[in-house]
Amino acid sequence: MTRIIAIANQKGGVAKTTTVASIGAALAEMGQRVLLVDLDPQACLTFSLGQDPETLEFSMHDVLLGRISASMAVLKTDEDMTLLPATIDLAGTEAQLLTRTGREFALRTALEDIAGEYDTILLDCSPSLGVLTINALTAAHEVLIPLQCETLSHRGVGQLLDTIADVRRITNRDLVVLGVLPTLFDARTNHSRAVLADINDRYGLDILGPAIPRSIRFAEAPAAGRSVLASGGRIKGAQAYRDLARGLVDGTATAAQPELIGARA
Amino acid sequence: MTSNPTFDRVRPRAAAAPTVAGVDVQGKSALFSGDVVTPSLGSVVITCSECHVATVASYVRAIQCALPSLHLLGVRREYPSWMRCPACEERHWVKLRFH
Repeated sequence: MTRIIAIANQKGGVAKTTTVASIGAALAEMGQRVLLVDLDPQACLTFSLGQDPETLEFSMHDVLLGRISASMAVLKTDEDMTLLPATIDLAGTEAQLLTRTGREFALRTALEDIAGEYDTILLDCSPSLGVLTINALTAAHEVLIPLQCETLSHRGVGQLLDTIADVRRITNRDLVVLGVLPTLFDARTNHSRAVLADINDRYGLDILGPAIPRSIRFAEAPAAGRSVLASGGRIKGAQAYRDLARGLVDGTATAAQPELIGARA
Repeated sequence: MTSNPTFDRVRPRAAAAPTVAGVDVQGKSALFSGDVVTPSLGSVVITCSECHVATVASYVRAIQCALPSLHLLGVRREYPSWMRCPACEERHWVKLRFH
């Protein structure tokens, strides 16, 4: 059965796109058939995987408005993944969907036709709690929350969990929260560990591991048009994503990581 | 609550805005085309297999939508009832949940 995972956090700059590209590449390395869906009008995932959003004929804009089927918009990437790309038009899609009945199901309906062709579908959400994010949470089986371990990111987790509760109540009763993934992580600071400890304590969320360490290679990878796994080789961050992907497949990534929340002890 | 005083200013969940029973104070109806109000006792949630919208309706409204209707409880598992969906106003297979 196809597994659909939304990578969501309304806070910007927490490594949602990097997480989607890297987990996707890691799963593809493991032989999985992977579809990545770019739901951010900034089209960062599309650009990061070597496409030029300015020159695309079809995008998620056309798919979500029902003008074309998802299979007409898919693109192959160099790393053996498939991409449903975004363009800046997606900013207008949100406004157009707002007046439609069943707007929150546009993505789920679009993916129904092609989901069977993939083992895993990763949804790269936009940094907002708008209709596009609601669509992603409605279409997904699970949601993973990347979190930069700082106070302002911590503040957004409660708001996101409220939105997830609304989605569970109204459109997707079976949505599962996989947990929080520490990104841009600096293990040297007590603050990072204190944020994770408080989130684990306050919301009862699992802390996924391994934490993704901060690295300049993540910032450099989009320029090469490939994920950090292809461009960064065996750096610690790339290996962390490989370990995380393996943990997601065999279920071991969802256990709380005591070493990450040691500040509570 | 947390024992760490650093995060005392982070509000607990759903405490950011006042809530009024039955009223969409936070404007969530803009995001969801179904009813965002929690179903109350004596209501029916009608979920349409076509438009996927879950509508909270009173028993009276549900009966109005169900005239005429067809119910194949043993045959169709997920959407066993054929009746008018209050959201898209078309007759489709729907799922009923009584509260």
